[in-house]
Amino acid sequence: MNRREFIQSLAALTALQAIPLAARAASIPKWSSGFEGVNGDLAPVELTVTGNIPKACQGTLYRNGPALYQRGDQRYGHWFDPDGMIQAYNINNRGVSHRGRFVRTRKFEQEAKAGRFLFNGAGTVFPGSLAGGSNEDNNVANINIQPHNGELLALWEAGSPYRIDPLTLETRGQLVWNEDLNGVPFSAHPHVDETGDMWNIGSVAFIEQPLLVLYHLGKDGSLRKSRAHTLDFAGYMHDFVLTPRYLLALNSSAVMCDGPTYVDSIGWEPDRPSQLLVFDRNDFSLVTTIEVPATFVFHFGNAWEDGPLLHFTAAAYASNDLVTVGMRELAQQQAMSQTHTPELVRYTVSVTDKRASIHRLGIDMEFPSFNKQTPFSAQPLLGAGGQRTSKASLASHVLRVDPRSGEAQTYSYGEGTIVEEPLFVDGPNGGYVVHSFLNYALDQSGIAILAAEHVADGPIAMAHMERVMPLGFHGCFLAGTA
Amino acid sequence: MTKKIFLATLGLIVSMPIVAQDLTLAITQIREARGVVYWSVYDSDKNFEAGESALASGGSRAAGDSLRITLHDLSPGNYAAKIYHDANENGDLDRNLIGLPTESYGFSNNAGSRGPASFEDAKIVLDGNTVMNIRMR
Repeated sequence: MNRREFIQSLAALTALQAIPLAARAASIPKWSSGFEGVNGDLAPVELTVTGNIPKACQGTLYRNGPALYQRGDQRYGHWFDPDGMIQAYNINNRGVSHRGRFVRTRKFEQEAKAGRFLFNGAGTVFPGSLAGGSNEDNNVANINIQPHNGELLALWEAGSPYRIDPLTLETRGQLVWNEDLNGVPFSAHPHVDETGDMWNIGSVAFIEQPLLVLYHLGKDGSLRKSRAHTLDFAGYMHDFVLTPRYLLALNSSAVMCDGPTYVDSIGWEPDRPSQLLVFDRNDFSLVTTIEVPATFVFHFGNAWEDGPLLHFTAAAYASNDLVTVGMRELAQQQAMSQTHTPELVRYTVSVTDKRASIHRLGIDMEFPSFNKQTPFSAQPLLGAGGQRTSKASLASHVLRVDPRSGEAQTYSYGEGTIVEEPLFVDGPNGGYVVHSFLNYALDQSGIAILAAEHVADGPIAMAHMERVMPLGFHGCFLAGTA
Repeated sequence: MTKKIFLATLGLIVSMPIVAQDLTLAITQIREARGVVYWSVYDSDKNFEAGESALASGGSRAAGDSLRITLHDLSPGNYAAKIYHDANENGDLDRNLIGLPTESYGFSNNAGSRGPASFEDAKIVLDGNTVMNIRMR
């Protein structure tokens, strides 16, 4: 074989080897790079900034989300499964940098040592997996990251939170107030009241007698009170509503049943009304239970009281299909077989009359958030939308919605960009909105900043990097810490 | 080895009298090097499931992430072990308010998926010196 033939044969070999890769590329939609995952901690990189970042936006955007999709030839098959990575976008007068660090959960540490997934995921069964000692062996701390008592909490929803160092992102172990609450579910959506105290629910749906645990934590980190209530049925609960006087939980019609995984156990009973459970904030007594039409909700928006009436917003779904089907397809990098459009709704509740009415705002929006400095007002809601029209069924719009009139401002990035949870940043002229994004068309991730009152005008500043981050769930912005 | 010698060796094994054997508990994944690891070995399903009248039991100080305990001169038969790690030395396997253990435990054969293992799943047949691998969880 002469040199030319040799090179030609190499080329032929390369072409042959390329076939399966090319076939894979054709079968995997481009947007699914957001579900590829990363395999290790990510060292800081500087982002390319366009536009002018307002001084009020100097700080850190922390994000949490499922990130470790694969160990060896084992791959998770549901968006809830992968181990959580905390990302920090540090924004200061020199620019924007990004880094990421996996939460060192008990599960992560054991599996890193073994070099394989030892335990089943929330939605994935691995042959030969080990039995866990408790739910804590499945805790991946991958849903949210929120500040509490000078540190950050990496939150899951079916176990205790992990404490994270805000500067180094190192894991400091779990937050446990006492032995009774050690490993007891603590939702990924704690809410902070006007005094800085933190409130939360923990849904214990996986034992014979389902329970709802209520938590009240002082801003100093102390446990002020907790109480467990028995439930009539084990409806899936991911978030709750805090008002000046009450704590409301929606016991949804996605009722837990027997299934091979946690996700498979989230059933759907369309004929069973959901329950609004209204608790008194003072002593956690159950004030009343109000039946509402069967619904499924991940996230609630703002809540406010108006004389005897109480109002709150929610991103509602017609069924549980998003979690049992859609999130599985996304993690498996397949186009969703059906759309699962969330609709922004407003509940109006009369606690004394035990009545609730639901006003549909007709807005396709998820990840509702608002100015946490003024928690109990009918202030504008921020959110991510456009799921219905996107090829990936994922958000490509930023919205700002008046929760009373339903009037909305929208900015669309168009196909190619997926918008993650928009957060409010306090500042002059009505403040700002910051959110992370994935530009799958260009293989970039980054952040965008918009003027909160002029969302429809689009970003005033953006920063991007040539690093594709897995799509995550929730986070927080802390000013002045960069 | 020729066929003849091999058969002769086999004959030797078969003709050996039944003697007492050793059972070793090889306990791994002990989470903290503090407190006491309590172990119990049972030879009947009734006692195993009731947690009573163990054939042998004891406690060993947790000094690392693993522990080996050998019981000598046991008769051939079925055995199963239960282990728990009393890390805070309060004499109990601690549980939270929903009844789930907050200290680690284990069963022979790493049996049981949720809740306690059955003797049937946890038992090993002692026939020659045998090691039980027990991963704490």
